[in-house]
Amino acid sequence: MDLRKVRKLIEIFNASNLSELEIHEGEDSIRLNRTLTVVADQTTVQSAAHLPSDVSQTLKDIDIDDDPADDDGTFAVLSPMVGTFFAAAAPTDDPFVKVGDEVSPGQPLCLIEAMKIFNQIEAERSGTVLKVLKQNGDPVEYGEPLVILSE
Amino acid sequence: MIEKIVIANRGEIALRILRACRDLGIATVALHSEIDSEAKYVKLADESVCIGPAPAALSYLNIPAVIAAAEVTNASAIHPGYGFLAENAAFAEQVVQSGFVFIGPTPASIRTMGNKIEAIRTMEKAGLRCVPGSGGPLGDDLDEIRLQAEQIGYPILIKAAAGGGGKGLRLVQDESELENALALSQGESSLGFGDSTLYMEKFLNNPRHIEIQVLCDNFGNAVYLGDRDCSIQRRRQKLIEEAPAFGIPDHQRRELGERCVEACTEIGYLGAGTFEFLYDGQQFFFIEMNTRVQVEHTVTEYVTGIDIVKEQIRIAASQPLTITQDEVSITGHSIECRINAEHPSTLMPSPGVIHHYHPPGGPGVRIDSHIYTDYEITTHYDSLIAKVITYGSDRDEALARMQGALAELVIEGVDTTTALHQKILAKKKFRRGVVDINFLERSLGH
Repeated sequence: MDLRKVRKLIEIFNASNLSELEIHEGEDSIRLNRTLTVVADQTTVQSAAHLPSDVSQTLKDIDIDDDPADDDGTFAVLSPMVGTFFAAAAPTDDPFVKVGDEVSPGQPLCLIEAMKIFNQIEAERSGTVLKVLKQNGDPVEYGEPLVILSE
Repeated sequence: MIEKIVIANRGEIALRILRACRDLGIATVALHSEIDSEAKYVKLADESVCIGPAPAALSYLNIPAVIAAAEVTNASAIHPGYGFLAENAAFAEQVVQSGFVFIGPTPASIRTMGNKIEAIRTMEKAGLRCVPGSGGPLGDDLDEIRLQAEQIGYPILIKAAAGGGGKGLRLVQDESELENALALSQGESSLGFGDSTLYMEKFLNNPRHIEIQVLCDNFGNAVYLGDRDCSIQRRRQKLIEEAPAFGIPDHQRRELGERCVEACTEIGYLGAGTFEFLYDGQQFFFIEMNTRVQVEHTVTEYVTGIDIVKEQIRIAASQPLTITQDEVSITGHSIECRINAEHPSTLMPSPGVIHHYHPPGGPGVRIDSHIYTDYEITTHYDSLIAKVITYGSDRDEALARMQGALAELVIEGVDTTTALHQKILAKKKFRRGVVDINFLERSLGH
């Protein structure tokens, strides 16, 4: 489940007076309850805080943004900048990676062009390419997932 | 014509620009940091782009990110608002070089006015009176500086050419303090701005802060939209602004406005700008020019009926001004109170979640604010959360409406400056218009 969606759900939950909320979406599920136990994708986060607004703080504490690994063993490579996505170094070249490729840390995955400068995005860890989410010329925002790797 | 504008700012001014674009039928792209992505004003834009994490240096001040966002959204122009990149000449230059329209003056104008010594020299040449001072950078010879200071007459102010925000600024009462003050200012200035150039000015005891709003187009037309009094300040930050500046004879206002317009024509100024003056002993002394839209543009809009942000966009689209000087008339009086998320007496920033927000209304009341119930104020950005602006047929009516509006305003969850405004508004001297830039600090007992 998209972590931004989780955060959004927590906001909605905080603004409501519900004591418990459970949502199933495909294989993912999330359960929120007022005793401040957050169960997201089998990850249980316990917090000693008593204010509902601290729930999102708890999520920040577990560094979701810095470690966008899902528990199903997949890992999203996020764009470090706003710009234009390119899968290959030149229009006639083969893409840096294709679905099914094994990648190792430091291996180029794609380019993000910003202000006529091509910035190479590299794999931070090893894995197999599960999905390339963008196509040549697609605009990307800061923090947007580009490639999904499995470990 | 400009079809799509990137709003390279946040908060109330981002919303203000968005509203002007909507009036003109121009599409908008809201740029935002990660922490601002859920803000309602961002959702009002036609498109939005996340340009970086919360710290401003990595998002709102990140030039490549702003320009890349304009590229990926196929926008034609960038509006910088105020603060952040608004007065960054290098940014304006890169915007233009990347093929976009910068909604503001030329990079050269921004650069000239950004250097205080250059700005003063330029305006002196254009015929504006400046505060008596060294007229240029101070040299290394202490004896010569002593002599200059004596000629100007103590007390004097030591200022940094690259200065801003009070950094490098020192008040020197007499010669015995001079050497030490120079050393301290130099250190602060080179540390803060990477430039240790200093200059010297006569210190005016209790002047008023009065400014002139101008608009200039590409066709050699320039108008001034009257004046504003912004004397109610603390730590050199404006808190209450009014238009027109009360008690200034019409002929003096006209003369000053005409001089500003002449200066604009001389330097080839483009867009909206503000000439700031200190008013002391019935005389105006130029201190600096702001090359952007100002927070307090709203009071001028109320008394002139002219939409300054729309004019900025039209000028940038190479359209001639829609008004001539003869058509500019000042009617009534307007006041703006800046509501900051700060403790009303200690003035300490007060971040937090707004649990309840209820804005005031009624005739002659305008609220420019991006906040709403459940909005979270973080420590990353400016503490300005709302501008309450009132209009009346005269100052008394505008003041009465401001008192009513502040009484109606509800912002729960964080401390705000509302109570401080109410205190100032109740002061007899303020009501009589007897103010100067030290009024607030005196009445707060600092």
